[in-house]
This record gives sequence, C-alpha cells and structure tokens, in this order.
Amino acid sequence: MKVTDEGNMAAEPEAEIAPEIVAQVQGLEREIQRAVIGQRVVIREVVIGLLAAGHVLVEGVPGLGKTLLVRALAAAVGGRFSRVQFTPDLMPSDISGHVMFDMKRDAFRVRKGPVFCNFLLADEINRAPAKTQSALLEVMQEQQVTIEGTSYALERPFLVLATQNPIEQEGTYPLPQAQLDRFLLKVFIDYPTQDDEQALVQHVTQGAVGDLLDISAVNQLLEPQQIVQLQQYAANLRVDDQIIAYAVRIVRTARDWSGVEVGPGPRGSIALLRAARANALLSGNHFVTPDDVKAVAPAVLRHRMKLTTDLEIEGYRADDVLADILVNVEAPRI
Amino acid sequence: MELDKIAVKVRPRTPWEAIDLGFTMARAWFLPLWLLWMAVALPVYLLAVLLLPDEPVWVILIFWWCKPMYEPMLLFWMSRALFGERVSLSSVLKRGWNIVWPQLLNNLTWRRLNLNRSFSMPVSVLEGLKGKARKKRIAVLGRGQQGSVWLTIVGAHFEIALEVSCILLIVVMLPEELQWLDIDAFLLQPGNLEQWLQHVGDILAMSLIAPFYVAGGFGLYLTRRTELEAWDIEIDFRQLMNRASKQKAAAPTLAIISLLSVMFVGLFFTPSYVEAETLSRDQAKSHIEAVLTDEVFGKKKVITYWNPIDKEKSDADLGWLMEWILSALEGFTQGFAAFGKGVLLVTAGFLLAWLIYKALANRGEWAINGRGKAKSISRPVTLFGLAMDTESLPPDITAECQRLVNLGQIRAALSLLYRGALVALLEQDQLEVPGSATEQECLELVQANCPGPLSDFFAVLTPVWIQLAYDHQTPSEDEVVAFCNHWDRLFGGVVKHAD
Repeated sequence: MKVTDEGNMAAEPEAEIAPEIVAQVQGLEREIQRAVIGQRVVIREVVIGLLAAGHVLVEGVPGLGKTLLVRALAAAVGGRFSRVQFTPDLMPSDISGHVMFDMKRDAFRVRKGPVFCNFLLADEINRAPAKTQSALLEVMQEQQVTIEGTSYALERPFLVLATQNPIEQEGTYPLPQAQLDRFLLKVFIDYPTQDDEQALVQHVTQGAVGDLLDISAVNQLLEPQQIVQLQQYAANLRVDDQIIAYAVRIVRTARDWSGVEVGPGPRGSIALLRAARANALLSGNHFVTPDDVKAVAPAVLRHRMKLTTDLEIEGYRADDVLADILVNVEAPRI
Repeated sequence: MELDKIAVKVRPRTPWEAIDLGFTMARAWFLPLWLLWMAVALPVYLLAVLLLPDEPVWVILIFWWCKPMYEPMLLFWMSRALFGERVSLSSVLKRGWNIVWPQLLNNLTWRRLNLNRSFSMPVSVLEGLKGKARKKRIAVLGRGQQGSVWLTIVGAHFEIALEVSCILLIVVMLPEELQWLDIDAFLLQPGNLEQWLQHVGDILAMSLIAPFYVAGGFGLYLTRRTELEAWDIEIDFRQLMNRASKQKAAAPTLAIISLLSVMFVGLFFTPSYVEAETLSRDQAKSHIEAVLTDEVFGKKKVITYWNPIDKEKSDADLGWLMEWILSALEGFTQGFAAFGKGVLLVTAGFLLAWLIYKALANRGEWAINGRGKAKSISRPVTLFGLAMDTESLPPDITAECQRLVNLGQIRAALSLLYRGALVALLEQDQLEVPGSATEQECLELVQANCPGPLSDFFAVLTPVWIQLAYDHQTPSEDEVVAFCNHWDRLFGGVVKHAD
C-alpha cells in the first residue's frame, strides 16, 4: 500500500504492514493510556472506532473518565474537541449552529455550532428530545451540516463519542433502534480495578489544584490528516472471503437467535467488518483474521440487538446472548 | 370364578358402555396398573438403549413394537382385582414370565398389528387358549363387535396427542437461554438430543394410555361374556338364593321364592332341554299349539303376494357365480395372509439376528464391572473446514507432506501439517476444541494444556498457517520442509499409533 501524491492510499494491499503505521496506531493507544489510567479495553475500542471512521456510544456511570478519554484522544491527534451536555431543552441549532444578524457588518453571519470539530463528546445524549438527537445523528451519518439551506462539510476525522448513563432513566429519551444502529460501537465503561484506581487517584491528584482534567501527559502524536490516512489504510486491509462469510454468519445467527426480538441488519455486518479491519490494523496485521472479527463482535452488535421481554426480565443482556452466539457460530472454513 | 364377588355391576352393555366400564376400572386401579406397565416396559427400553446407544429412532421403535409384552400382566392383575383378590405387584412380577411368555412370539410378530389386541388378549392370557381353540373362541366372542378396533384407533390418537403435548411442555418449560432447543427443530428435524428428550414424552404417553387400553378391552370382553353366558342373571339368582338362605325363619316364603326361581329358570333358559327330556314329540306339539293359541302370541295371518319366477331363476344363476367369486376371493385372501405371515416371520428372523449381532458388537457397553473403554472426549469432526479424524489423514503424514511440497502444493502440505498437529494433540492430550474456536483460540488452548515443545511448535506453525489461509502469503518450500521434519520429531508416532 502506497501513499499517493494526494495523500490517499492505493487500494492494493501490501505484503507487510509498514512499521511506522504500526507505531502510529499503537502509539496513539499508548498516549491515551497516559492520561486515562486503566480502561484499556475502552481505549482500544475507541481507537478502533476512530480508525474505522465510526462513532462510539459509551455507556457508564458518571465519573469514569469519559470526557478525559475524548480530550486525551483529541490531544494525541491534535484535533479540535467539543463537548455538548445534552439536556431536555437543547435545540438542534444549539448543536449545528445558526444564522445571526451581525449589526456591525449589517449582514447575516453563520455561527457554527459545537459540531464543527474533530472530536465531539455528546454527553448524556439520551437526555435531549428526539428532535435534537436526530439532528446530531444526521450529522454523524452525512458528515455535513445544513444551516439555512447551505451545507457545510465537517472536517475529517470526525468522531462522535456519545455517552449514556445506565442509571437515572427518569425523564430521558432512549435512543430508538434505528438511531442506535448509526453508532459503529457501543462500549461499556466500568469501574477501574483496585490497582488502576489507585494509580489514577495518585496521577490525578499529584500537584493538581481543583478537579481539572489533566491531559498534559499526552503528547500530540499525529495530525488529523494522518488519521484520515490511517482510516484509508484500515479500509484497504486484505479481507479473505471466508472472513466476510464469518462476519455475515455471526450477524445472521444473531438475527435468528431465539430470545432476540430484533436482530442486527446488514449494516451490522458492514460495521463488523469495518471494526475488524481497524482491530487488525491496531494488532499490527495487514490482513483480517477471524480473531479480529470475534474480538469486536460484542461492541459492534450489542446495541443492534433487542432482546425479548422474557430475557430482559430475567436480567440477561445482549452480551450474554452474544457470548452464546459466538460459541455456536463455527469459525471460518478454509 | 365366583361371580357374586365381582366388583362391578354386571349387566348387558353396548360396546361403548363396556369400554367406559373398562376406563372406570383403569381410573380406580390406575397406580398399580401403571407401575406394572413401567416395571416391564422400562427394562425393555433400557435394554434397547444399551443395544443401540446411537440409534434413538430404533430404540423407540423397538420399545413401541414390544407393547404386547407389557400388557398381559396388567390384564392378569385386573382380572384378579375384579373378583376381590388383591394380588401384590411383586407376586405378579414374580409370575410375570409365566403370564407374558405364552404366545409372546406370536404377539410380537404377526399378531402385533392386530387392532383387536385388547379384546383378544383375555382369551390367551386368562382362558389360556391357543391355536384353533383360541381362534374359535375369539370368533364367537368377537361376533358383531368392532368396539375394540375403535378403542385401538382412538387410543393411538390420544397417545400421539399426549406425546406432542409432552414435547411442547418440555420446550415451553425450558428456560430461554437454552438456545440449543428449538421447537421447529424439535418437531421437524430432531437431533440426537431432541430424540432422546422425545422418548420421555413417548414413554409417558404410552404408559398413561396402556392401562385404559387394556381395561377397555377387558371391559368389552366381560360384557360379551355377560351377554353370552347370562352372568347378570346368574348373579341375580345367586343373590336371591343367598338372601333366601339367610331367612331361615320364614320358611314358606323361602319355598315360594325357590319355586318361583325354578319356574323362572325353567321358563326362560332351558325350555327345549327340559321339555325334550320329559315330553314326547306329540305331547310337545300339542303343548306348543296350546301355548300358541294364547292371545299373548298374537294371531296367525295369511299374506298373499306375487313372486316372479324368471327373476328367481336369474338369482339362482347369479348365486353360483357369486359363490365362486367369493370362494376365489377367500382363497386369495387366505393365500395373501399366508404370504404375509411368511414375510413377517422372515423379517422377525432377520430382526432377531440383527439384534443379537448388535448385542454382541456392543457387549463392552453393558459390562457393568468390566473395564469399559476410556470415556472419549467430545471432539469436533471438523475444525476450520478440515476433517479432524485420524481416518482422514494419510498413514505417514511427513512423507505425504514432503510429496506435496515436491509437487508445489504448499497450501495442501501446510494444511496437512496443521491438521496433523491438531489431531495429534487431540489424541495425545485429550484437548477439547469447540467448533467455534479460531486458530488463535486453538493456540491458546494448546499453550494452556500442553506446555513445552508441542506448544512451542504450534505457536510457530499457527501464524504461518494463518498468513497462508487469510493473507494468501505462501511460505517457502524450505520452511515447510523444516516444519515437516520438526513435526515428525514431535508427533511422528502419535497419529500412526492412533491409526
């Protein structure tokens, strides 16, 4: 794979992955880990989302470092970071921007909203009404914003990291299945382990005044343009037909699985393969293996499945069902 | 047989009432009947399972076919209980062989599909008749009754309904997370597990229906005998006599009742016999004429009608033709029956020979104290599309691998090595590898279970194989040859030995 004069990658896969590419992607993961102590799985999955040019829905209780994670990512890539706290009175224009009359210039001026950035943290996305959610999800899908009839393309890379709080569901607007489908991954962020939390507390409180987030340890490793190139690189990794068949088989099994009321659609298969490519790149491979598919399957599929009421009442989660599915779907046949 | 001790009300009944009587008996004595059935049927089932552990369909078929074996003891116990004798189950079981064995071979071969089984069973089991005597007796008893056929048909339907209900119950009551059990697969394409689960429903349904089936047939038999032998009247008179004998003080009354009863019996039951003994032919004739003149017997009428002579003649012509056709048909059916009997006997012979063969072949399975085979670990038949049994491998893997390398078939050679290594590990270290395991997971399993040079070799071989399989990067011939040699040093003896 070669970088062309225009900065794009040629579509022909290379026999070996370039060491600098491996250094870039793995370095990115390491840089984020400097600021976000522990949570290695979450960091890896967010980086996979970035490399696969997808968006990530993070679910976890408050105070686990979601904002820090996105800020550290933005710092490592050198992109622009925005944060929007979703509330019931948030309007679509509060996200996308609006046109206002500039008295000095005696003309209308476009005031771009927080969505014009590289990394957007949509905090507690389920607290805003459906209209506002839809505005953001449209931006995520189209990668452009329309204000007063004029379309503005967003700068690439563009990653939305939306968060949801699994508790305190009163007064929230749960994302409908169709909108959840637009997130490439759904990541669970859980409490850190004892050792990680101890290291985290020590790191954050050392010489810090107040509770400001400290991302000073994160060095800018990449430029946004390099991320776009890495995304292109990941998209061109070699994927054997058996791997595609394996991904489709997993998704189709999940669709027909007993206890699953609504299963993932073809977009699920596509997302699974995209994420598997990114995982392969992050693992330093220039081709995708069944392990890449299997590794990302829970994060890709868990939010695309609606379980039957019986299972939900009994406390089963999509991850439990997915674990069963992955045990039952046969690995690729060579 | 002491009819006055009979536990049911004896009276002439229609076949449906007779079956109903049987069902009442089955309800009243259900538990002992059910236990008796299970006591005979379960050992047969277990024996069939031992003989054919991998053939659930054959197991249940044999179990179903042997039904006539389980029923005689129920009938025997019921026939005793009917006359107030409560025989213990253990004593019935002790006499089980004497009850079941007579005519067992006949019952399990050409009589097996007889729809009148429940009705004709008492003739064999209780009256002990066989051969022509049995046939004549059944012909007399069975004249004009089809109730037992309907009993069989309805019983079979109920049995099927119960089986399906039981299967549905199992499926409905199983928790949702048991994903391996699917209702469609259960009913339409049952695997081995589903078939064994179905057996639970089958045995339960058969055991529930059997007491009612046997008792229904017995009820029909009792009613028919009551009709033929006037049991009800006999019982009434016995009761009458008993009451009368208790009233010794009232002698004149007794005399009157006795006289009345003698007259009654004389009048209705043995008129011709008594008259023939005491009256001459002329006396009898005059006596009959005197009786017939009584108004009770009505009047004599003369009816005149036309009878066409030609038609009578043509009827007579047709008569011999019909007679000939009927006799030809009868001959044909008799021949056909004889042919069918022969076929059944031959089939039964083959079946018996096959069962003996299977029993001998599987004798290791039912050696209770003997050293059985080591429990085999569940192994995937295929993994990554590669056959995982030693039979699919060549006898000398290294030589075959070298040959493939020489032919330039590097992929086939490496595939053989990888497969050979896995099979050797499965054989040697009894690894359990699920079908969903990827190459990396296999490697982790090997590293966890077989540390040392084996896992080292596998750790080197796996990435090369993955690269070849998914990246289409072919290793050099020298590299594959080196793998061959290494493989031979590590596993050379294992797979050959397993062969």
